[in-house]
Amino acid sequence: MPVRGAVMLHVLNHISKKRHRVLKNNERLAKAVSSPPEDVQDQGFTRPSVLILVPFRSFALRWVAALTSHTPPPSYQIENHARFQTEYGLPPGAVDKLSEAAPGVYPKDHVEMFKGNVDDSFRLGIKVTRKSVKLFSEFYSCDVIIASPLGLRMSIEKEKNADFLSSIEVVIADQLDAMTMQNWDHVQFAFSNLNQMPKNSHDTDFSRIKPWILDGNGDFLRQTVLFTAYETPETRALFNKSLKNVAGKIRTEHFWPPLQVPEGVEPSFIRFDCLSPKDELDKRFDHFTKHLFPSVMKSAVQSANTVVFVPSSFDFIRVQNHFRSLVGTTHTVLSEYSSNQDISRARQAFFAGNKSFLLVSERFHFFRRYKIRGIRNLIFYGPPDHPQFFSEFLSFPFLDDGVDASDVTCRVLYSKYDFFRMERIVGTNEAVAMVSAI
Amino acid sequence: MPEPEEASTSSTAVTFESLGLIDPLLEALEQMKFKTPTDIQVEALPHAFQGRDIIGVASTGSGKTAAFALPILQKLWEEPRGLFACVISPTRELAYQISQQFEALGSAMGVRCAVIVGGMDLMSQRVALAKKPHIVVATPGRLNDHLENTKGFSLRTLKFLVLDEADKLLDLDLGPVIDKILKVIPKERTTYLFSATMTTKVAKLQRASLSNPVRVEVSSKYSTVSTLLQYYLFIPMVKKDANLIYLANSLASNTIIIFTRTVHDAQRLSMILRTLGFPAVPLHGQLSQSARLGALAKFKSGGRKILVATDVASRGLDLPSVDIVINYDVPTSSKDYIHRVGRTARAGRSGKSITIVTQYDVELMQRVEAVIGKKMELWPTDEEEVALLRERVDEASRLAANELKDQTKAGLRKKRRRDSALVADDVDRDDDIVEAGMPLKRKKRS
Repeated sequence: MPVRGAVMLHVLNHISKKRHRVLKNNERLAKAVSSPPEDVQDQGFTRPSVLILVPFRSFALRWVAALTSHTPPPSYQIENHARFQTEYGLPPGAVDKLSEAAPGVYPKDHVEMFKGNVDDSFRLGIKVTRKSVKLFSEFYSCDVIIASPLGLRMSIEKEKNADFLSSIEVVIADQLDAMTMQNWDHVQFAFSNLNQMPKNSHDTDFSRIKPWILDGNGDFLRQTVLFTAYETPETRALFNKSLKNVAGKIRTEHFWPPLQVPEGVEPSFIRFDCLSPKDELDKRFDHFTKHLFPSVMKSAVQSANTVVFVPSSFDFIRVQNHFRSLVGTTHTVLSEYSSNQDISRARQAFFAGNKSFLLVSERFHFFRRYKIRGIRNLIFYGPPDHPQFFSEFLSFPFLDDGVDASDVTCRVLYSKYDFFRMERIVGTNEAVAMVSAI
Repeated sequence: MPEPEEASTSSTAVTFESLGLIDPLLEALEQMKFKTPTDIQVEALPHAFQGRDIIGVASTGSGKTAAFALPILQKLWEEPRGLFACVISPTRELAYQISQQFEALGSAMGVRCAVIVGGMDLMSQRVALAKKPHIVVATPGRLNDHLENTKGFSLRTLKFLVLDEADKLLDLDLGPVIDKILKVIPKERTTYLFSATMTTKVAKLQRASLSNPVRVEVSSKYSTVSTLLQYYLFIPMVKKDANLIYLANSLASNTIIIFTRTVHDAQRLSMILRTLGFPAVPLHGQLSQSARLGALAKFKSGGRKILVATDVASRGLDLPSVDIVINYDVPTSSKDYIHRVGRTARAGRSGKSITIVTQYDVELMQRVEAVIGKKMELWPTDEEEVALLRERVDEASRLAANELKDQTKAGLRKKRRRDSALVADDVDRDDDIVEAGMPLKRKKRS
């Protein structure tokens, strides 16, 4: 991605200019013995000034590659590079099924997201000097921190302070969409710990600290860059609330065209009304259990070979409990916590028709991307965040032989708070009309 | 425009204006309703404007703080810069009060003060110092801690050093710390020493390394102000509590400070008083800093009319409208006596002090009387009424003793941890700590 290269160039520029200024002031201070200069406030409480948040180790690898592409070997030395490659790449001898597979076996976006090392708990300090880039540098003497939200949180909780985040000037969050699939709480935790007053002094020279950082206004002069494939209410809230740069903020608007679905299949979108986002969860559940589901159960055809796709993990548990309490229906589940054995058993039972309902969570599909066979009916408890999941599920019935488009039904439950998701499925124009219709 | 009061009060008619103060200060003084300078201000300001070192001695409540604050602020106006002056005070409460005074006087010129005292968060103080405030008001222990451990903080640019309650600061307990601080402060500075009681020992004064100082004294000998009426109460030791309650009861409409020698007594008496329905708050060095400030605020605002304090509160604190000071114990040093009773009868107001004397304290009392050069009068009491009170007081005192025991048991663990965290800070722990260290702390739980 050329964007990474450009961003890294900006980061390097920021760090080296800052470093240059500090060194120059050091020199001035050393020379002036009698009357030291006063205008030397050029640092933060701690040295790290750039934070890069990424979901997996493989992305850390890509960001570091982008960094080192600007620091070519003869003039720069990369320290600990071999260790970095072994820890952040795949273990020797391991075969990456995703990148080795023939094109078309796995969806392209899945390969892009999950190829390489997908460990999600790590943090890495990088120290940049005039002649070298030192990976695995100690946190308080590094310039750039690359970490996953989880790795950052673990390190903050272990040290019982977030002092190393007190003077961050540039934050780059890559693949926010993947982070919403991980644990959004960790992302919020990381952002809430940025630019806070540190608890310890860490041998800081207090006469060198920039005045706005002393005043606790670091938030307002921090640059934040968020990259995401699509927006969710969470990422928009982060944009609205955590980005306070006095220079202002911008975001790109994306216009979504309507999604291509297999010909002949007519998804029916069922809207339920709800006035406050607080009630949304309950209203959705009510509508599902009282209206949508009973009408499905009336039909013998629709109450078999049916997949219930649930985007949120919280809703998933609730729906699963509801199915458990029902008498006379059989169901099985595929969630992100299912073991490989559970998965194959569930798929088998569903395909064979032994279980009439299959509950699938969005995270399961995000992390595993199985093709599920034997689907005739689809119920989306809510529209999925990933638009491609919608078209994928709609195309799954046609994996089996002799399925006609008229055999397939699809229902999608939505409310006006699903605007972002609906937009990606039915297109921006249509979504505006659908959520505003009374 | 001469005001009628001015003409009548003094024959020389010195005004702040005639002393040569600049407009922003005059403005602030007017807002604070200070119309005429006090004696010490009249004496000290001209010398100060000449840039000389000053030793200032004036009785309690005579406006000493303004006497050193005004010349500093005036100089600051001429050459504004960060870390311009440092005021050292022996107690934390006094430090806050001095900083408030500086802020009030310098409000028109936007002066920035930082209070650096023990018991508060180190990190936020480091940040406050890094912002280069004009005036630093500090207690010695914490200031020294910052000088040694806060990288990038120094007092190299300091122009003024003030030791408030200088005799206390130059005393044995705090002397070594003061020495350390003085070593890192530039020699070319102006130094002011102020107190109501001043040591005469040359060796001690040399510590402050003054250069050609002028001694400004407005009261001839250590003295108490004339508007203060001083009484004593001679009673047997066992009836001390009952008599104190009798006093509190018969003087219930007044604002009272009761001084005790130990933290234990302060805590115990405030409990007894509260059990018996008197609005009392304790103030001593074993309370957390926020509790101390809270107690003081309650008392100042008039929410509580009785303050039971150790010598932490004896010096410098300007608590307006204190009517009566009661000494539960006769202070061991006569200087302390002067400072204690100086909490009342401030700035020309009247006030009373009552010292409870038991059979063991007679000699101490005579010594105090010799120093202030006055004979005190006996405070009349009604023996019968005291006797009537006795039973209830004893009951309350039993309750208080039990409660204290429970508190120490519960708080022992927590307190110990807190103490170890504050070890570096011990020097700041104020006047009463040596006397008042509760033995309970050292007791090991079996």
